[in-house]
Amino acid sequence: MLLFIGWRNIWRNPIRSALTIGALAGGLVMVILYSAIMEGLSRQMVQFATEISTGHIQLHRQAFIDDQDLYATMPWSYMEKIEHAFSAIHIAPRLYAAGLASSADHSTGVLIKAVDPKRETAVTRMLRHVRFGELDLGVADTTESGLTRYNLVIGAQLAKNMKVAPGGELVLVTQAADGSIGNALYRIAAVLKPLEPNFDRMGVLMSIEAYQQLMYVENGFHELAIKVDDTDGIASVQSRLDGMLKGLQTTQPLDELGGAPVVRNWRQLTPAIADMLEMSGTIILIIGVIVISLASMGMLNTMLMAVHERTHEFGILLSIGMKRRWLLLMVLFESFFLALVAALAGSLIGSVISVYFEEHGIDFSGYMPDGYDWAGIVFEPVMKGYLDPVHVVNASILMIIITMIASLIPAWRVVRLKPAEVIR
Amino acid sequence: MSRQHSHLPLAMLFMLAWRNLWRHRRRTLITLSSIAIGFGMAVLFIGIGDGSHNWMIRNAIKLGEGHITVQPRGYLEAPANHKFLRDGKSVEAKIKALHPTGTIEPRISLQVLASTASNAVGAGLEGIRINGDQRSTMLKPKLIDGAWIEQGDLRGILIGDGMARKLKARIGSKVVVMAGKQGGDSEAQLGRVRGIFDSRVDELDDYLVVSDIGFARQFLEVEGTISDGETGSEPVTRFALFLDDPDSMSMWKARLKSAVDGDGIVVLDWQEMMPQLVQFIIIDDAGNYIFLVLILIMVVFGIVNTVLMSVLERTREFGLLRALGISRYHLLALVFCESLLLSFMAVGVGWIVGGGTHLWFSHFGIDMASLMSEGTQMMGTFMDPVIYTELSWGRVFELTAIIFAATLASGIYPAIKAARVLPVEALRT
Amino acid sequence: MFFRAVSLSVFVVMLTPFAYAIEVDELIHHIDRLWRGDTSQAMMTMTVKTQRYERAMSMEAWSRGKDYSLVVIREPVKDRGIATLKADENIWNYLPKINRVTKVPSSMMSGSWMGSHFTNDDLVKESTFEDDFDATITFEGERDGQAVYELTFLPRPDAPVVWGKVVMMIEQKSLAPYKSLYYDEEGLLVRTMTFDQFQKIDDRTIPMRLTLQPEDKPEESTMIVYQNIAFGVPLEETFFSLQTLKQRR
Repeated sequence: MLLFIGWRNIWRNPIRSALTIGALAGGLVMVILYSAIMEGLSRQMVQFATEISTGHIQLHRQAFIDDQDLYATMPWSYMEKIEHAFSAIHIAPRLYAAGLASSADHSTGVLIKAVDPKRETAVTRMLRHVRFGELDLGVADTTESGLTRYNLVIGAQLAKNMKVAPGGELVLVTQAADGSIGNALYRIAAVLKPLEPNFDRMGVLMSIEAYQQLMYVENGFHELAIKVDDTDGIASVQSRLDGMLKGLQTTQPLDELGGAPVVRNWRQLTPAIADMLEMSGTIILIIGVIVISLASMGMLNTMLMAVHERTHEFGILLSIGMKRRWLLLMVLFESFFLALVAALAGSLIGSVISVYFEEHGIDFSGYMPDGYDWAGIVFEPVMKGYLDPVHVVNASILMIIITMIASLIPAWRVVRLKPAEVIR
Repeated sequence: MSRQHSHLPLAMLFMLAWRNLWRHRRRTLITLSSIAIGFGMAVLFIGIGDGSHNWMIRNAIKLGEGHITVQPRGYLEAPANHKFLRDGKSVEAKIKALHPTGTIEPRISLQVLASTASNAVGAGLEGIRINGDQRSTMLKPKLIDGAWIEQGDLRGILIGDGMARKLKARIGSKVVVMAGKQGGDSEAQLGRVRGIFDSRVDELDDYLVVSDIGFARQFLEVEGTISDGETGSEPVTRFALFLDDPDSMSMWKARLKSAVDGDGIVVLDWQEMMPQLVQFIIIDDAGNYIFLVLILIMVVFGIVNTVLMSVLERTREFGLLRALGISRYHLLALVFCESLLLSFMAVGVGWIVGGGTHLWFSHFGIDMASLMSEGTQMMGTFMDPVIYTELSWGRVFELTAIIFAATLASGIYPAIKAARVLPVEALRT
Repeated sequence: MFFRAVSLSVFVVMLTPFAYAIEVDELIHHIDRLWRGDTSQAMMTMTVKTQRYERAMSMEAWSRGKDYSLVVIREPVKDRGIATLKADENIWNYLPKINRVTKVPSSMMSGSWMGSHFTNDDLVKESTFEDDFDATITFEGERDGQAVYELTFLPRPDAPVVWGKVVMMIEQKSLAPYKSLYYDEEGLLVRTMTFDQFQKIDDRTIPMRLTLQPEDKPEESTMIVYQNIAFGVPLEETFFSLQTLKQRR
């Protein structure tokens, strides 16, 4: 009965109710939109921090971490065992070396990075960031003297500094693992967009096969980048991997010089970025509190006023004998209905806008085609939202609670008065 | 607006509107408070945004190469040891002839190899006026061992604790600094560690070597003198110009351009030197504007809601007024006046709240360090961790106009609505 | 040359400080010319032992004065023809596989030469050794069971060298060095070079084997053994050119 009266009351004054619903829904839309933008932003940041080249977890040997020891490799069998032991992960082995790259008239020190193109693509987007040329890490051709030229992919700034372009030739000279001078000719297949400042300036990417022929490092890899399908499971994968490696070391010992294998997640790998994300997280939270309190203020005001204006009416109801708690209950139902309608409308509109934003994003590529570089991560120039249904539900519940509290305050005041006073 | 055919003088209209507003004191107060809070938030938010951007820019300029940089053309795109201003002396004279209000710092940056008996590492050598450059004032407090290089000490170098560890160098240790030149030749000079600094920024502690510009110049002079035999031309990599008044940058840039810009020399401002920072600020500004729009929408919502509700509620009253012979226009004007007064008060109260918050934070600042966990070093310790909100007069006008316009605009629909009231119908209800 | 280049040079090469006793000058002059003469040609093998690999190479070397030298690898087949040319303070490598000459940039100077414990910089430092060090005889008498001279080389104050001092032991009778010790500034021994297998060539007693031992890695070493060495070979300056570098394989 009270429910029914409450529902009817709302439609007794459709304009006022519509206004109230509009205000409540508007506040809700703002909160949803804000959380979608911020969630999108922080997800994007994590994504850029991990998907470009780091991955979620990396595996190295201590000596490689300490001084990029060329010999601190882990055997390929480790990789196969890891691959078999875990189901929902993707892994990409990598090898590194320092070398000297020369073009026709320039030479400079470079960082050689070798990847398995197929696996790498499943873990990071590194290979998809081609600016010029076509991505190919296979054999390019064979010279007249019977020398195989492999394809290379290099960083944009390096290409600029060396004055080379796709199709051009690069010489790499380095000290191979057996102490000899490793040297080979390569064809530049592609130039990558900036991924990370270091790679951009001195990165040279080749296939593991090409690397092995240059460096004579054949029995293992330096780094294993791991992408975990479910990002919430990173910690558990990390600890399982840790345990598994301890086991592997007893059955298949590693040489002593390279040190123990070390498993680190992306926060440990890039502490500066993790710190920055943490700071943005704090700022987002502060702003979120501001937005929510602002929206709540609006809702509170709207409800306060809507109920306050009906003081007279409540007085009459009381004087004709309505029980106080029934009146309270009625107001509560009314505001609940209002809030419910507003929540439905608000979350619908908010979600639609957020989804649009999620799909289209705000595009800055006109200003900065390469994205921007901040604290060592290169961001893509498109800002995208991310709609988390949980946020929508939370925001709606928050709104309903605030609305009901807001309606109770004036209603409570009313029922405590004597009907005669109220009517006057 | 209605003075010609009015029986009501404007003053009367305002008086009526004013009374009307205070007839519903609670409602007006609620409206005002929500506008004021929204406005305060907006002021605070914009203040933080502008403050942090200016803070970043100031720090970046301080740490970087000044407001305006004069350096070899092409250096920015591809830095190299062999790119430097051969005739630093005459360039400096030309710059000085303009009498810029600020300081001019000659600097030399070189990629070098630093080696000791135990190890060799790649490093960046920065040659500065050892007792004048901005960087010296920043780095001096970071010394953890030894002393600052003395004037005229052309052997002394300062290294970070990270590099000292790698090179196993101590105060007084020899460090051979070798720099590559054009064509792949190299030049070696002996440096002596005078001091070790710990800037808490690993990149600097592992990589930076600081010396007097005279030490760094030895690498350039060898190369410069071979080609043309001049001595004392005081080659440098660049001149960094720090202006006393940052607003005068474009003027000085134009003057410098006409004075020294040429084939081999280019004049760049900090935006051109640090495009990433500019990009970051654009992105961040975009985010701030989105947020500002959210706040404004909420504020406008609040106003429309209250004014409209008050109009609807007073249908009977308006009907009565109409029946008493007050014209539509007067009614429109009356309601509009109410909105106008409300706007004035909103802006007034808004500025009291917003301005107060702003003053508080512009005086006490927001300590970013407390927002970050222990050991966060992204900002580096060269930067002041406290951000003070900033509000330029432009922003003040902009904000006032926006809020005022929004409040006023939100009064239009209720005013029209009130004017449309038909006396007969209204009185019947 | 290699040898001179690398090793000798480093220790002794011709320092000519006038302020010292004639004996010092003579001694230094003698040692400086020991493996070199005006010009030289030699066949040698280099054996490198590290924790990670062992590697043996045979190579041919030419030198002229202290500023020019050329080394070409003969064995193993994989590396055959790889050559290093040093002219003044510059080093080029010729890589036959890709038929390219690359200049060693300053950033690579601290890198290992052919995988050995010598750095490219060791080769270069030969040319400037005399400008960088002052020598004195710091001991004369019985040591290690024989009469020796101990020569101590102290770097000049502003010389761009990393060593704190270099000490060389010379056997008095043959005037052949048998040990060189490299110290850092703290007086800590960083590496030791020992000389043995003395042989008399052209009235000079020449150690045909030298072994470089880094102190922090006792299990590692680089050993150079001369099969033969000839002095006074006619070699013009033009021989030490990029042209020759490419052709001498």
